[in-house]
Amino acid sequence: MKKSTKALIAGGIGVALLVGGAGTVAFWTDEADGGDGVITAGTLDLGTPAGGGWEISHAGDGSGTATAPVAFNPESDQIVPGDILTYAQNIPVTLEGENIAAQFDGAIDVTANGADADTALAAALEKEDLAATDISGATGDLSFDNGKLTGEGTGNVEVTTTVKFPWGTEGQYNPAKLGSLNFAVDYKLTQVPGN
Amino acid sequence: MSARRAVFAAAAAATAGALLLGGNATYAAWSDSAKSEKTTITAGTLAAEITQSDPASVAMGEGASAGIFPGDNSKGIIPGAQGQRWTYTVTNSSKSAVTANVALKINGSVSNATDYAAIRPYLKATTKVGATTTEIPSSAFTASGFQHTVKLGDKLAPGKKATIELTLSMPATVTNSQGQKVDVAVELIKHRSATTDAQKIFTMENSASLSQVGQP
Repeated sequence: MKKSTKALIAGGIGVALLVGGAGTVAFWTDEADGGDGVITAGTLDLGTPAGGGWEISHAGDGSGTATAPVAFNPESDQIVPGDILTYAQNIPVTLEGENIAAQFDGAIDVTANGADADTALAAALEKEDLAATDISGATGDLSFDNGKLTGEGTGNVEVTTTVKFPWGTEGQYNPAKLGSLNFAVDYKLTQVPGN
Repeated sequence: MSARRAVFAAAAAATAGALLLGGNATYAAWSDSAKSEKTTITAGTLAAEITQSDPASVAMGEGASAGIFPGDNSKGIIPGAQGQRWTYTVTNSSKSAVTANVALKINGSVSNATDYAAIRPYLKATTKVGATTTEIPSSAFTASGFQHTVKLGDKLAPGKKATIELTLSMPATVTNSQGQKVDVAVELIKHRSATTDAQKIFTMENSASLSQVGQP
């Protein structure tokens, strides 16, 4: 076979090899691994509430000025119609995340112990919503405004809960005499959009 | 990146997008909760206590100077000469948690309707709290009995007590509607008795009432 023919045949095969059966093309490739990228999530955490403090003032029938608040010891002191009880507690919070924001809220949990007087007392009390008033010891960018936490950091949300024993009409709350109830507060931190 | 890796990456991204969008555009937000310690709150009480003494005779009006000498054991009302006194002690129990306003509620029901009807126009009653004596209005003596509420005015702190004297009497004489002086004893001669046991006018069931002081 002539060299030219061989060359032509070789070139044709080579071309055939290059163009392929369905028009594919063989081109060079290479790979390299990028560096390790660790993605971590932030957090939103409520710590264990620190011991709270009770205070009591007395408004009576509302005809005069309420007394100044004084310390109230639930183990030894008793409430009567016209009393206003406040419970102050600090709640540790931790927020981490580039766009983290959270709403602080809570609910008062009052349960009677079963006796008729207990039930009457639980029904008599006016449970006002708790108020998250401020934040103390904030670190990082953590800030607090009207119940909303923004920015990363830790701190203590200061919460005040108010419970009132109404004056009522004469004898209205007699069934609640010597009644007792269990009081607690459920705190909640819920993420809200950071934008 | 190889074509195969590119396809996997695209599929993963599409899946992640589906998870984020969800079924009704909901999204999963973080939350956490905590509970305060449990505290037991107890209500106080307000409790009234009352004691009543046996009736005592009280010398009134002319008495001996009019020649009237009640018997040693006589406790009944003698017009113009002797009244009958009941003493009540009202206590704001030491178990009470509040200071209270005090009232004595007098409730007398008729024992003998005929005697009471005859005696009723002449009956008088006073209360004495401390050094203050107050006359009870005659309107307190109704056809059904004797009802009146005595408000003490003073407040009682827990553990404190107050004493109220209730004295019932009749005058020696009254002036009738014709302007004539009437001897009460003579008018009631058919309704007299030497002892209280024999001639009850009405039966009293009195009670103490405490109400929590309103002003702080």
